[in-house]
Amino acid sequence: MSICDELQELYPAYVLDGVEDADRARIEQHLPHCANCTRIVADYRPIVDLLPFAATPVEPPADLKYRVLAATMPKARPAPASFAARVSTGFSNFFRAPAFSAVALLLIVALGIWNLSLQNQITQQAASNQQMLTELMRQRDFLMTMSYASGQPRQLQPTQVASRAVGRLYGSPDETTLALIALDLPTLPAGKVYQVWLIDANGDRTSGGTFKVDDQGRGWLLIRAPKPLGSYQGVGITEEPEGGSPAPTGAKMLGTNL
Amino acid sequence: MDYSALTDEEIIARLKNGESWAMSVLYDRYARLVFSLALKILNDRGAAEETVQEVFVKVWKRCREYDARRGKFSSWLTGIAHNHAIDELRRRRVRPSASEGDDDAMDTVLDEGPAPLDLAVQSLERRRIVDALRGIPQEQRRAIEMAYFEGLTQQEISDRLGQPLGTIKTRMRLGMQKLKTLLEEPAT
Ligand SMILES: [Zn+2]
Repeated sequence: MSICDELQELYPAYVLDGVEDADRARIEQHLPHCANCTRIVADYRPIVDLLPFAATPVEPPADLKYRVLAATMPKARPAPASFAARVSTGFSNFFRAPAFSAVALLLIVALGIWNLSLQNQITQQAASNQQMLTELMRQRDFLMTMSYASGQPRQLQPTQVASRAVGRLYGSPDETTLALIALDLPTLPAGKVYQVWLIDANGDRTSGGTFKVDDQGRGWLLIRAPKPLGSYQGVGITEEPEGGSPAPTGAKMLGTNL
Repeated sequence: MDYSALTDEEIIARLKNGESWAMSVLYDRYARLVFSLALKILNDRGAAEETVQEVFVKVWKRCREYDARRGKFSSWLTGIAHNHAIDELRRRRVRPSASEGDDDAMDTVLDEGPAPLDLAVQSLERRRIVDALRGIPQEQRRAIEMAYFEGLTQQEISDRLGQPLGTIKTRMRLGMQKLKTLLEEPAT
């Protein structure tokens, strides 16, 4: 029996990952020198590529995604303070510039202006805290929504109460997940939040959720709307008591027709 | 841009580029496949979850090693997953009960309904392999499944089934050749 004949008996088991180590070593020594055997093994590969699909599909638990993403977070490196400060100061102008892109924002996030401490905590605590992971996922979903919304973001116009404020809403007309970002809003008194309202054709206002702003008036919100963005006529932001209101009660800060 | 329209290879390129959102897309696309495979092999949900986590971490760390010219991403990924799950199985020396689930796997082809494109593609892949496995004699299928899903060598299969080693080798070879032929036939 030639070595080829002998090994050919083993190739099916070899590609299925079911040979003894000694046999595997013999095969892997032989293959580079034998075009015929190499072809036989290559012919079996497509079968092995498909076999995983024969396992009955079972949905993994939802929280597994958070664990995986937390485990694959790039380790956050604090940017040099001076540089971070410079980026931070220039942020508002940067954001107003027409060339502002989602990629630029991703960079800013990567620099840690928003979630550096969160990333550090995550990597340090090895993803044990569910709440933190949920928050992390929210940030990721936000960035994904913002990065991949089709078309231009909608500009939110400031009202007199918040004349310096600027806001953008990212989302495709056929999608219900939206990303809202706002800058230079007035800082909030204790016990207050900003609440987003989605306004439909009848003028009915549905809450898109609430958010707070940092000491520079920056805030963001991942909105899970009940209906796709295209079915709303407008969006507005008001100041409301913590926990949000069933309908707008406070002063409008930002808004636009869609 | 709609990220779900990106090919696996394009997403891997982003991942290599350090764009960590790409991991999220890959996860959405393949976690179910990896989990299902690991569960079939390990027969233990907790261990299957760990496998998913370790496999995706490996993909993340080793994405630079992936070369699209040498094969599809899904093959590379399931190769890593299979390897990992079989190693774990051998390490734990926990054997799934020999036949549990086998018939299910043969009989159930999930009707995905309106599903994202990648799920639909996976459903088609599943139908192809399940139909092909149905098309070969039961004892050949059994030998192939014992090797792939239970990580058994030909000698171990021979011992378990109480059949001569030569018989097992022949069954596996004939089964694989027949599968190859069936898979090459145009889909009906
Ligand atoms: Zn040879």
